[in-house]
Order: sequence, then structure tokens, then C-alpha cells
Amino acid sequence: MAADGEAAAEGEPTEAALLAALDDLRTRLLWTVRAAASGSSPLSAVMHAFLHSMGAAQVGPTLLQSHPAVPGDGTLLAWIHAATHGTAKSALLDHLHPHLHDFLAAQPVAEWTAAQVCVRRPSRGKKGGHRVVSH
Amino acid sequence: MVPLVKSRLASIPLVQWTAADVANMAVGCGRPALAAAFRQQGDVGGAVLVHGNLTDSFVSFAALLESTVPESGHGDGALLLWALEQKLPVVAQHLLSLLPPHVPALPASAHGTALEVALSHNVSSAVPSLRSAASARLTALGWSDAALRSNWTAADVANWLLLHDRRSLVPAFRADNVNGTLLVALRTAAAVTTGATQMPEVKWGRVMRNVSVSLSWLPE
Repeated sequence: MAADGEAAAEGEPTEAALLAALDDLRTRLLWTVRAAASGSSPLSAVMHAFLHSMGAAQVGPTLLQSHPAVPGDGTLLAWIHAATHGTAKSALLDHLHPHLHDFLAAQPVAEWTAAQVCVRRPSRGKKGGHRVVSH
Repeated sequence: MVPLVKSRLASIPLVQWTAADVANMAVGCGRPALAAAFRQQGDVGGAVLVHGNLTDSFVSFAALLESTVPESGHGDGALLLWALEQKLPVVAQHLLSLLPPHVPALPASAHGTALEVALSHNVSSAVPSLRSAASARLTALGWSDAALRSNWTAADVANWLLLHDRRSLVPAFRADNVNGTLLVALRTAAAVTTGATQMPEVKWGRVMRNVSVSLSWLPE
């Protein structure tokens, strides 16, 4: 391959940078999430492969920790909820939920972060309603 | 084809052809390099051709050999598939070496570049030269956003993954048809992750009303 950093001019995109992006967990997830959110390229197979290789222990924190790219110290999960809609949103969350469940199930409730506490469950007896799970 | 050779090959059943007959047939059809591969492989007689259902007659074999122009990039899909199934690595290596790095090497039912086919079918002798060819093509295409968008096909992306030992990702990337344009999106995501760019603003009050993940196992 081209010798990155040697032949590339300053500021020119390099192969090494692209490879690093591919290997970064947050970038991986963000890339597939943004593609899914756009609705043009679901990248469902790629996301599935990434999630499978990352596992809940890595997916959970990536979704629920404050993400540097999200305005206002928001989480990636919050951004997903805000920026995606309709079937794209449903498909995306269907991918992510099992990993999120596994991650939260493995965490002592007392150690949950504020973002984890803000995860809601459907309220019983209230059609369409949700209740915040608080501790 | 030399009339005497053609006369012999046309007069005896394919299954009775010797390895020399098969090689002579390839030479007669303008494929001397393929003939050399047959000879180097050894014991590729008519029975091997018939056993693999590659062909069943002089006429159909001639048509098969003459129907493709290897340098055109369309390749010998059926011939390659047969060589792989019959475990003829020298023949397979020769056929793979004729392919441009970014075209599907096999018929539609089994996609994959020449490099991917060589790796997945353990044609290890073909791998170094195929890696070099794929690498040279990607270098020539370039790494700028514009180059990725306009030049890189999904097969190029697959080769890129293979060159960097990320073979496990290839099936998913192919299924989603990840091409150069989507690699640009990956690069953009990296810029966002590192803080060089921010995600689009959203209405956070609405976010907090709508964050909803069903966790039925949670305690009341």
C-alpha cells in the first residue's frame, strides 16, 4: 500500500487515517448509526457485524456515555432518538436494544449513570405512555 | 489448430483424452499459458474435465476456451470454478492472475474478487501477486474524498479490507454494498468522533421525552 505519511501531503487524507477510523469503536458505531439515520444506506449487515464483534460491554458504554460529538454532552443513544424517525429508527433500535439490555443487566443499578437512569420502560395500563425508571 | 491435432481430438471421446490432449487443445484455442498451467498441474486429462461437469465434448470445450478474452476482465468464471472444485491450484492460480483485481472472479452465484477467491479457496500461491495487484490499483485510485467517491467500487473496498487482514468484515460490507462514497462517510464520522465536527443540533427537550428503551426485566 501507499506509504502513509510519507507520500501524502499535509492535510491530505491518508489510508492510515481511514483504517484508524474503521478500527475506532465510537467511529464504527457512529458511522453505521448515521447511515441508518439517513435512510439511504442502512448498513444493517455492517452494523450487525460490528455489534457482534464489539459485544455489549463495549456497545453499552458507547451508546450511554457522553459522546464528544453530541452537542450539550448528550449520549449517542439520545442523539439516535432525536435524529432518527420512522422505520429507520425502529430498525436501528432493534439492532441496538439487545446489546443495551445485556450491558445494563450486567451493571449494578446503584452504579448506573444519569443516562442509564433515563432509559424508560413502557408504563402499564397507559396506552403509549412511558414511565421513567428512577432509583 | 493444427489439422492433425484437431482431427485426433474430435475423433475420440473427451473422457479418453490424455493430459497432452488437453494441453494441445488449449494451445489450439490460443491459450498457450493455460496449456502450460495444465501441464504443470499434471494429470489433467479428459476424465477430469468430464468429472467436474466442465464440458462433455470437443465442441463445447473449444467454445468454452474461445469464448472468453481473459485480458478483457470478463475472465473464465466457469473454468475457474471447475479448477477450484477439482482442487487444481496451478490452473486456478493462472486463471486468477488474468483477472483485474476489482472484478468478480466467479459467476454470479459466488461473488468475490480474485484475491478473496484465492484466500477463501486456499490458492496460496496466487495470493502474493494478487495482493500486489490490488494494492497497486488502490494506490492508483487515490485516497482523497473525491477519489473515493468517484473511483472506489465495493470490490475495491473488499480488497482494501483483505489487504489489511479484515477478511471477517468482507461479507457484511459486500452485503451492504459499501463503496468509496460510504468510506467518505466513515471518514466524516471519524472527524465527528474526534470533535473536529459536531453532529447536527437537535432539540434536547424533545429528546428526553422520547428516549425509550423497553426494559421489561427491570424491577418496579
